[in-house]
Amino acid sequence: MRLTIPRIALSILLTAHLIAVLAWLMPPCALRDRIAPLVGPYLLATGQWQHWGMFAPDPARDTLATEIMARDAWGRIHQYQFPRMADKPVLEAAWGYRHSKLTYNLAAPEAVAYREFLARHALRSWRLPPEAFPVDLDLYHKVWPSARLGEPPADPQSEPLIVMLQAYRFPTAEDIWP
Amino acid sequence: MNGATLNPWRAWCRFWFAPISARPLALFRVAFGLICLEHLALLAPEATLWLSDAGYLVGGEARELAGPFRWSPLQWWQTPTIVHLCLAATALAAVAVILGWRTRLASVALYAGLLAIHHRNLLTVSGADTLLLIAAFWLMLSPAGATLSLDARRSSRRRNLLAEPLIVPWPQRMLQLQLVIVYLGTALSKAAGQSWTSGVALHDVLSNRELRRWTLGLLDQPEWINALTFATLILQLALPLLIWFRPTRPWMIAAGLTFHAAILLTVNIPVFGELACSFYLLFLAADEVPWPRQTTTLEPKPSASAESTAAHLPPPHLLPPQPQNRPNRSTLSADNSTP
Repeated sequence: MRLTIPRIALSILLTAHLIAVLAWLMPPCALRDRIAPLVGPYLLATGQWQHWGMFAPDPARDTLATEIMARDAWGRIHQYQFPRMADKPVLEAAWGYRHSKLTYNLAAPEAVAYREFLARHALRSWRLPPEAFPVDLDLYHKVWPSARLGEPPADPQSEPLIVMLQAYRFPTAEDIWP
Repeated sequence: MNGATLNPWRAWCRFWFAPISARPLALFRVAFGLICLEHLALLAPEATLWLSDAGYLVGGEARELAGPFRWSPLQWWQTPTIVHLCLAATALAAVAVILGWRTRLASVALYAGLLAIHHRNLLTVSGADTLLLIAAFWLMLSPAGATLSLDARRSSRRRNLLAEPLIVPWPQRMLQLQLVIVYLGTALSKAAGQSWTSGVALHDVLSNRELRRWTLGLLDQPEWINALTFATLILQLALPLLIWFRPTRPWMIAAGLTFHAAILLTVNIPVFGELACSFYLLFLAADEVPWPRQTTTLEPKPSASAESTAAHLPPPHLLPPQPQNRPNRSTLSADNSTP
């Protein structure tokens, strides 16, 4: 194999790409903090940003469902349930796997904007008149804890725990639009 | 070989640039195109909800979630009609990639379509979405249509060339390394978790009614749960290393296929397993590719010139030493995986 300029150039580019990916995947540390901002724009723009942690470090054991409950200015209660795959037959659930993904993504601490946008979506779907505002809204997870290995299985009909994700107040109808 | 191992630059060049058979990459191209169609078919019924301004995100919300760098035209033009047109165009590009029709152009269009879809819907970004984009990116830069394609067929007929050329493998190597990163990254991340190292993670996964499909009776079998949890961890550490070597490769591929088939049955995460398995094709040497077995060559036309045949081959300095400057069975047995 001869030393050629195209090969050297390509080698540099490939090495730079691999370093960028590995730096992006590094656990939080000083080196990552230094490199990630430099390589981030390239990886984000090209869709090469990545994070590999399927069911890691620990899989989500508890069954979750996302719901919204809101009270409008007249005191009326409105409820919004996001689709749940736990209730669906296996083949039907295959088409809706993104709903499950959304439910678990919402629990992430950094998903602040996601939660607010979904709250707005629920409000828009109710088509409330301007007089119904302000609206107070709770976005929460229903949690059915799972049994640990060796324990008898949990009853799926049992009452779920409620874990609050975020509470909002939308003063006017304009606030539910970006 | 000894020279290659003694000289790092030569070993590096051999790994990235020494020509290899085009068949494994071509088979991957076909598999990848089919998986893209599966991905789009699963997304299509709810495309309005996930991708359009009649769904969860309206106005500038998708742009706000994506930030300044993850750009997508669907963050601006986001009516349901445009979204469905984008999906249809991406599906057409996937079909063209499968057929190997205008492969380079089709793979660029497929990458652009997937990027537009992916960056519009960051609410549900998953490993499958990410790996699809990564694969599309490197496929776009690769000579994926060099064989088993309409392009290769047309080129062969027009120029009276060999139907199965050699290719320079650097994009294929990046795809191989990407699979290594996926498995090792996941395994290392799992190794930091308590439930994997204590052998109960599989029970936790199968207990989750939102994510599981069939439990296969495993929840009542603690010994099997322990064994399969540890086996998962071991496989994800071993496969990315041992798949490179010919003696261990069939075992690793068999174990990987079994692993992803089991996930497909038990957990509601489509696309990712199929995609990961399709990457295994990239590690096969030409003589390990199960289909098609025959190397196709065309009878030379009387008008064919020697120059046109040579034009189809890699430059002479890229070819491994051969008695004649034309790929034959022995040339094609060049190992695609072992550096």
